[in-house]
Amino acid sequence: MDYSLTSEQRDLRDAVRELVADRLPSDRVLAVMGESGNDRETWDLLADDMGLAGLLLPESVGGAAATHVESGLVLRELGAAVAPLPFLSHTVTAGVLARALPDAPEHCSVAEALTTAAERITAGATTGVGLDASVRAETTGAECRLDGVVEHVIDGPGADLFLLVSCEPTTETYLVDADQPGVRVEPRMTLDQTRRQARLDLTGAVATPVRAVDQPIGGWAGDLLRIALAAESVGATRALLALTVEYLTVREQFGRPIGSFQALQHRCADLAVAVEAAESAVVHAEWAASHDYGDVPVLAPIAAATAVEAFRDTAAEAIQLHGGIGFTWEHAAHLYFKRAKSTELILGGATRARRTAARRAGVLTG
Amino acid sequence: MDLRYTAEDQEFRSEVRQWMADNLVGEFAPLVGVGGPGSEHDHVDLRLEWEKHLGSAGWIGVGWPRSHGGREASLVQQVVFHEEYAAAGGPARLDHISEHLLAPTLIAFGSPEQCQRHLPEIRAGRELWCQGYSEPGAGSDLANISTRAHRDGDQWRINGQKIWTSLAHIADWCFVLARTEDTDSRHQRLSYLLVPMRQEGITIRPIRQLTGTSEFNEVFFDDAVTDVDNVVGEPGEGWRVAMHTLEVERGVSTLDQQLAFRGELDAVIAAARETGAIDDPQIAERIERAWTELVVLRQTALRMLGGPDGRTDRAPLPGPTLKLLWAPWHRRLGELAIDVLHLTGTVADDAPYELSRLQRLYLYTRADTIYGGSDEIQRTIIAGRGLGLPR
Repeated sequence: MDYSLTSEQRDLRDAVRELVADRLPSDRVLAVMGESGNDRETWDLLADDMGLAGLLLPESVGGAAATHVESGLVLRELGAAVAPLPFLSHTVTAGVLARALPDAPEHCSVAEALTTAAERITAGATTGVGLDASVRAETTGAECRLDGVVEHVIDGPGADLFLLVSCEPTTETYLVDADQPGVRVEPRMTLDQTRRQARLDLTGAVATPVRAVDQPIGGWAGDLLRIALAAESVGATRALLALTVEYLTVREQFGRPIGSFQALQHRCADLAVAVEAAESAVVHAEWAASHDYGDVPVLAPIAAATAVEAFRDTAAEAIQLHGGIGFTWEHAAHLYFKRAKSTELILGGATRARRTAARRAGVLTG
Repeated sequence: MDLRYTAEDQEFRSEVRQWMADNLVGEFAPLVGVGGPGSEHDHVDLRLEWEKHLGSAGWIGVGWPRSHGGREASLVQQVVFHEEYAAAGGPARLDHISEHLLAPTLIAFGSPEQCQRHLPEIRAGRELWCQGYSEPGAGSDLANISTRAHRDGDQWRINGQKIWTSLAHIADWCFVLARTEDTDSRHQRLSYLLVPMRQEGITIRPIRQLTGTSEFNEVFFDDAVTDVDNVVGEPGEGWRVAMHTLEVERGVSTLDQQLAFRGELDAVIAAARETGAIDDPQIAERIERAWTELVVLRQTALRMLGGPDGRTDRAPLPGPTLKLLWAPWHRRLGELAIDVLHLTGTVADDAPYELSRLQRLYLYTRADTIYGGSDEIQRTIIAGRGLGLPR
């Protein structure tokens, strides 16, 4: 078993890290999130110049045919900066399409629509993701139309395409073009201003159903979202822990760096352990998503639970360990704190994620 | 990055599985599932025979270099061995200290003569060791030891006391950290001695634990002797050598322990079903958490024990990180184990003090966060060496 990154993977990670360090230091994040919450210029650099829009998509649509290991590296770097960019939704949508495209029957309108969508995404079109969408679908012949309201579409404002997953009566996944009469997009301000949401009002909106042969693709979308949020959380947790340790090393009180006090040392050590556990869980989930789909339904929620708790605990401790300045708007700590809590709420909490994993693995039922 | 088992790994797995199926039978059948926490004294004589049996089939020292009689099994293969051993219900081992602590230390620092004298015997399952480190005045602060050894002709003469010595009563040899030099530095005074256990100058006194059983012992050295060549590394180098053993202790050698945990968790779940505790949502949540954390514990061990994977610039410290994951986990499992018993957990199976497996798990796991470097010490190591926080 080899866990090491290849040199190409390190190069990818370093390139994103450099871009983010250059364009998204925390004061810039604060500025962007107070405006649109989406740094379009940096998105274009990431998507087009660096070619990361097509990372997960097949070469047939102009993609790089890379795996969730690669997209995970990008997510970690963006998470580290709490970047106001719609890469999360993008990677989930691309991952869903990458799974559905090979199985879509050739020369049918669905396959064509999915291919067109994939090509647009490769070219940098942005997406918004809405799970738990309670919509009614009406299918007439080859045409599918949706009616209903979707309250929480992540990265929804300004998105070109929406990936919606509804669970009642069965799990169904749809791609919906934003630019059509039947779609009304209402941007919503969010607690975590770096990740905006939109409310969608659908009236006879044209939709393309997305299906894959071997498993309900809606489950796949949910698990990809779990893995992506977990990867992002690990990157954020590592960066925040490093920031906090740095502060503890330089901040002096009572004639010594406060990082020399054992109580604070021990709390940091616990966070360091938690992030390694989270990293391990995410790495295994990403690997499974890239190579062995069968384990994903169990490994994805485990990764989500582990990463979100490590992130939330580190974010809480970061504010505490920074003292008064950790409570200010100007300091970056609240960016992480709000991102961590929003992530936790989007995932439904670590307890429920563990329950999902255990149920799928038959732990209590045997 | 490739997390698949190779064809060689799968073959190795089949080999171990088959051997266990063919051999943990007949005279050894009573050993299935034996010797867990709080039951270290079960079937000791038969387990001593089992060690020789494992040794004669070449299953001891699989991770050692070929030059020292091993198979140079990869980390993954060692994991596979432990998994199949645990899956077959193999009894708790008695050679843990010999094979996983002392042997790697000899391989790293021992003289050719010392390796030649001891490694083949350990491999054969014929020689067992115990560890002479801690003393009443030196637990977390190991450098504070006061057991002394002085040169007397062609021997070392040893006086002092060691404590918490597992398996002392069945061990053939003991590796003893003793004070031999008179220099200024606390660490530079120490030497790593190899001492035969069965001699007049050594007295063993069992320590009764809160489980009622005695896994640990006090060992008294009263003019005990060992040949002058029985020092690993140079006299005065003992601290460096001892630290190596400690690091190994916190690494790969924890794997077989972790793999027994799934069996314990299954027993807890079964008990929870029997008592109906499983219908309590809080118990169910604790079980789900325990199961999730065990999955992640294994994932973390596999990822970190393979060496740095390039995902962080920080010094990865697999030993302390894994101990801080598994020891508190195991202690929480002990708490869950007795909680699912409800009132049954308050009574013993039999006089004088026969406790059930789950009761013993509850009591015994209190030790996990203390021995092998307490949780507090591990946190301090991570804070300093891992995170670089100032002293």
